[in-house]
Amino acid sequence: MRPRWLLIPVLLSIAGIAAGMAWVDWSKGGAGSGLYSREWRPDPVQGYWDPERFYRPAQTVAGVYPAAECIACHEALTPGVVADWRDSRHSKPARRAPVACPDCHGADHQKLRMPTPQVCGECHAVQEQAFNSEKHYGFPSHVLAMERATDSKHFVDKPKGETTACVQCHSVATKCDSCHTRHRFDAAEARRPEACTTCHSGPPHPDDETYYASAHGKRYLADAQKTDWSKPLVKGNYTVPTCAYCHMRNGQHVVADKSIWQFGLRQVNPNTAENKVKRDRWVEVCMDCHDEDFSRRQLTDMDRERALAWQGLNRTERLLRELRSEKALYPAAGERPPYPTDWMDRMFPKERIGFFEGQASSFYNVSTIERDYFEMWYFANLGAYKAAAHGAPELVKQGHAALAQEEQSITAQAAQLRAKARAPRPDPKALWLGGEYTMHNKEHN
Amino acid sequence: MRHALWLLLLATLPALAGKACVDCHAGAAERSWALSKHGVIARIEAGRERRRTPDCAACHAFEAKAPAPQHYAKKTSRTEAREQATAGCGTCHSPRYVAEQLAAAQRGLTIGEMKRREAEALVEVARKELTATELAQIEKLFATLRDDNLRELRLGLAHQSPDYQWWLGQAALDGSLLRIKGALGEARRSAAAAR
Repeated sequence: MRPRWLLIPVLLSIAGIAAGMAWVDWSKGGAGSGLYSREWRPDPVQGYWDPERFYRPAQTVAGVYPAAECIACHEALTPGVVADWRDSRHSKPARRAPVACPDCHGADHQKLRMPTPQVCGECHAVQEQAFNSEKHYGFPSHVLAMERATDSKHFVDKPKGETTACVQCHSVATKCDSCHTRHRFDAAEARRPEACTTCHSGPPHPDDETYYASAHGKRYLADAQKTDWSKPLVKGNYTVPTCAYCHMRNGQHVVADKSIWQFGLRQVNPNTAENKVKRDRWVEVCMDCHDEDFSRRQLTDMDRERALAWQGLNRTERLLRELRSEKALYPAAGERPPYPTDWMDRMFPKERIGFFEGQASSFYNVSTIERDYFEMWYFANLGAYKAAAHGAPELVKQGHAALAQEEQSITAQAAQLRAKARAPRPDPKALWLGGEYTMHNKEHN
Repeated sequence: MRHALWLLLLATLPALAGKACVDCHAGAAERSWALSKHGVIARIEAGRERRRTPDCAACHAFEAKAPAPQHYAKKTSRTEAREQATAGCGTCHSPRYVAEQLAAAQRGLTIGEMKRREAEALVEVARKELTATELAQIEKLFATLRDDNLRELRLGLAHQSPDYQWWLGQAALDGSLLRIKGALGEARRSAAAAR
């Protein structure tokens, strides 16, 4: 018979897990979204980016209005909006009454709402359900874009006037007009790659550049004006694939169901049982135009590209961890501003190196070498990944050249840091803990 | 009447805007607009009879009698230029929405300026402490912060491009600022080691 004391750690573990889950639930129960929902106080403009949680009606006009009266006033006040609505399918659907202002915004002008995916889902239930089903695949995904972004420490730490820039894109989770711009809400618009590029562009995700540089993108640029974009995204309707054609198979509102390499952010085993299913889904898409062998080869090439990128990233990450162990980083974590809302970070400061330590927030208030590694991981690595995924070999070469160059530069810096590790070490706190923005950041989060 | 003029202007803009402006304002100015929702829609719907979104002239020459895009920002005060530029926003957006966007942009820019001033103060210190070679590196970093990062933030805020506001704006400013601190800190370490 086993001694009873063995039960104690088991019971404590169960209690600990239950308490942890309850804490996460409690943390997410505040006014905002994500783990910091009780602490996160966004700018007023967030009402437009996350209407369900933050929109408050202006209450400038009293009264309950039917659609005709809304249109009569707004024809004069905001004629562009009314003209867009008149051009939309909402104003003239085939077999039902028009979907007009009160259907989406409510009729009581004192209680107007900004439509959320749930509101759109009242009619577009299939799309809403598909969109919500992305939660099953985790993050990165559109549906979790707001919640997981605001889980990042820099969202809760940085002044909200700054992170407002980010939530514009992360609002893809909380409203539908990121892709179907108001008030036309045209599916044809969302089928075009340009619709994605407002957010899918720039250093960490140059989807636009890499797609336009690919054979697919070049063909798109040549054919775009003569293509009928009103057709559904199914085999045979298009001569060239676009973002939505490949990532939203048959127009389904799911982009995460084929996410094998997890956006290039962390190293994955691309051949797990789950990834084999995802791989088959990709092959099925490619086979709309290409044969199976060719399609599978592209994915295998992609595996090789990722493995090569991660060799360099892992070497560099190991080097940074060694510098951390040797206390060679300057300034070290305790000598620069901590995340103010993180008591663990204040009590036990530690440099965040690697995806699982929260490296996504390590782009400010860190030493130069850590920022350089952040850029290597987040910019050069993701640039190469996107180029490989979109079939732009020249940009893959460029991405890997950038990775090699940054590894070399970081290695040289590491040697200098090691050489100086035993030299006198002036206290860097005065340099890092003061300054106009640094103090503002400390006081406004 | 104002809205009628606005719509008339939008309908006749192709001759005024787009290509003509980009001939001189290529690069960040054009790209920050092209990536915004306004720019995306204008590009997708090029050639349609009714223009839904503003392009260069629609904001920078928002005066129907203007024969060609006028550089208001240079000819008038910044407040007047902003009033003229935003007068057309109300065609599609509510006054509160426009006010919130402008306030958010102002807050973003204020923060960017704080980063610039913090960096500038460090450069002042560096000018007194460092050798010419050490200083040159810091001056170069500061020039990037002031002339590239801050400019791109401003363009991102004005043109509503999230990428220019964030990765090329605020996060790039963060990178330049920490590198200035890093370079100054390392120079001080070298000086301490030499003593």
